[in-house]
Amino acid sequence: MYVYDSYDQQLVDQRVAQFREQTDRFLDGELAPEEFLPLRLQNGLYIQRHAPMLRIAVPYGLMSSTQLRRIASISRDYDKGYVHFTTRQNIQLNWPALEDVPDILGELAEVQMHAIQTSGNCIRNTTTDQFAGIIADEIEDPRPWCEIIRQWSTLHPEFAFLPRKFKIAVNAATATDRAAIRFHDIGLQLVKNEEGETGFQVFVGGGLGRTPLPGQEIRSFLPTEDLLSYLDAILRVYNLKGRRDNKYKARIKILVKAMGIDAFRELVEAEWLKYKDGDDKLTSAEIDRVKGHFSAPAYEALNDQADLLAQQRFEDPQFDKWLSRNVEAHKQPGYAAITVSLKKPGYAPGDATAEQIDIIADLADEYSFGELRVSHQQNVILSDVRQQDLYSLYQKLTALGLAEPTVGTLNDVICCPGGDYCALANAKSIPIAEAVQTRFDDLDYLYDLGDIDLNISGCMNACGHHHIGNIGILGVDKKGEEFYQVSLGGDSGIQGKVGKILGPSFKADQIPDVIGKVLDTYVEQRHDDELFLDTVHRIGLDPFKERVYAASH
Amino acid sequence: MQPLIKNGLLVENDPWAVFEAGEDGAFPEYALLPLSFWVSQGDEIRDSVFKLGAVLRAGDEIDALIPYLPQLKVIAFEFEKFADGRAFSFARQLRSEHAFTGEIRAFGDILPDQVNYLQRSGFDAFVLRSEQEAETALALGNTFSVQYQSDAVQSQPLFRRRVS
Ligand code: HEM
Ligand code: SF4
Repeated sequence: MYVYDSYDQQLVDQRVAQFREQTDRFLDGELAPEEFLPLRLQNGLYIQRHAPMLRIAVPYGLMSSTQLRRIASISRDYDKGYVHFTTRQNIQLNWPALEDVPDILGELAEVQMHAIQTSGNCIRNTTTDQFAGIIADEIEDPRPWCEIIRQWSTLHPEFAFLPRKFKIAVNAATATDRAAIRFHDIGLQLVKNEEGETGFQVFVGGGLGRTPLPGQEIRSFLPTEDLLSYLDAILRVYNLKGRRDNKYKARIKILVKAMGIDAFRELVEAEWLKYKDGDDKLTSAEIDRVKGHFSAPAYEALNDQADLLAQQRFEDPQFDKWLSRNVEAHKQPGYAAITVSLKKPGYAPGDATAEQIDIIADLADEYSFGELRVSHQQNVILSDVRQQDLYSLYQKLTALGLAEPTVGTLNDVICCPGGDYCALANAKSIPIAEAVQTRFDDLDYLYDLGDIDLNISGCMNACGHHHIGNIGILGVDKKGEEFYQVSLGGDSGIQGKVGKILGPSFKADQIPDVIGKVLDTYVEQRHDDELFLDTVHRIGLDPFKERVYAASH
Repeated sequence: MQPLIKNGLLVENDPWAVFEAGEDGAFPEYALLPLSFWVSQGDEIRDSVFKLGAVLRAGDEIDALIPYLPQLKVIAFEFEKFADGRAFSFARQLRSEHAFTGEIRAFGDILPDQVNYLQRSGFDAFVLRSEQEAETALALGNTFSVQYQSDAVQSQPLFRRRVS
């Protein structure tokens, strides 16, 4: 993974000193709250329902066991001993004290971490596929590009006061998109052109929130060395033309929609041409330097262990289930990537305690070269495990409650903190996730249903990505009462679809029944191996509506 | 008078004054004229013996000023709200694209904490809201010794300068 040199280290150290001084000035009353606001936001600090919340960047989801242990110790020393893994590959502390934040940032800097630009109207953490670099289906490893974008965006002087926040995601797989790039302000898809050169297909103007829109293609092929000048051009046009009169209309998606993609493209290309062949053109020395940080770990020469695994699966049906759901094929023979599930029913999705985190860090050292990834499905990945070690790893995870064999199923719920923590919420979201997980706890049933993304947000800000869940649940407020709107057919993948609303909203206690009826309809109507999403798109919403609303009146 | 910082130093006796379009009487000797003035009378005043500058306010764009850049000694951006970051991009365009070498000034609602980014975007003069904030701004001058990107001052991004 990327290791800081003296420049990188100096920058985060100086950033900590800067924030310490700003916090002092705020506490002394020299900085008004509204003036401190953008400064603290650009260091990840929100003020929330119960306390401040600190969002720590995990650049493109990759971290070392040393870094993870530091997160655990910080959560113990400055917080309540647990943290939350977010849908944008970040980590949140829910209860730090404002006065402690400079010290927390100092501790993070010691392990090459920071909270720079994790909130505020600036360029946020760049995200990518949690299986980057280890899957066979990939143009090339996207992480060096994410790191190049990280450096370019970090303390970019021109783009710290944008109309609204700005998120970039990169995908390199050809058949899947686990990074949901179509729902980012800029989505970058690595591609090869007819000459066999690598470049980016660029999408712009995607996003969720109040106005969910998939990004549109602005360029079918951008040579890789032009990446930074092109990003600068998009950001500059957005900074100058994006709306600033209404924060709900300030995202780039609104600008692109209002202008039309062709007019927007014209402005960007005109701006880009002025800078394209300047000093921001990436050099092959720099590309190679960054790529050098992502070379493969010291894999042993192994063979795939099909026989051994078959035997173990046969002897232990639970292991069999875990292996089918929580293990991903690896391009290196004899290895596999596994998902540590943070979705145990009864616990908030994405939450982990300091003890669990420490143990996960130990497991990463023992089984996976000391590295981990955070996924936007709010789980943790050990990416380079020897197949012969899978069974012992599985047993350890089981003992910790981290082997819930439900990855990709209905119970692998993506869920925002909602009304239990978040000041903006219309409704609670975590209890809804729990109610669904409790109702549908029969594994055979879940497996029979197959892959289903269930996403829950507590308000239209859509932190739980409800629009792009195959089943989406959105908390709404009706005269002070909590209600839930259900949508079907959303897709975060290559197709990039926003779900359609089923109909009038429901009370919390109706939700498990409603989901049950939706699932029954699917089971009755599906063809052979048809996925839930495909059935919804084939038959449309009407059969689901009839079933759900007929019985409830 | 609000304190002015130019090129990292406090400046006493700043001669520049804003001259509003509707105002009666003669220009001050160092006149900052609103964009509308330049749009309507730019061709007439461009050869004036006065020292001339422009004031841009929220919503103004720089395009109409471009023909007059050689005459402009100062382009001053008035910040109505510190969170409105458009002027950062205008300043960058003025320096990097149009090679404007006069003063680019920020005044109005700006924070000492923004001075570093403003400077990197091409501003070289700052009117702070109070003496105390001016002192803070000066003290914050050396916060960062590293930057990744190119900017209006340093045209080479770090990857072209990195020695390892
Ligand atoms: C508890 C404190 C939180 C607050 C106050 C908060 C607030 C917001 C707001 C206001 C937006 C909408 C921004 C816009 O208009 O574009 C937003 C979007 C988002 N939030 Fe949060 N959020 C919180 C926690 C989280 C957490 C824990 C996650 C991850 C699980 C998360 C993930 C996201 C994502 C992915 C979006 C982007 C949706 C889009 O693309 O438009 N947020 N958040
Ligand atoms: S979706 Fe709404 S309720 Fe949920 S975390 Fe985001 S802002 Fe809060």
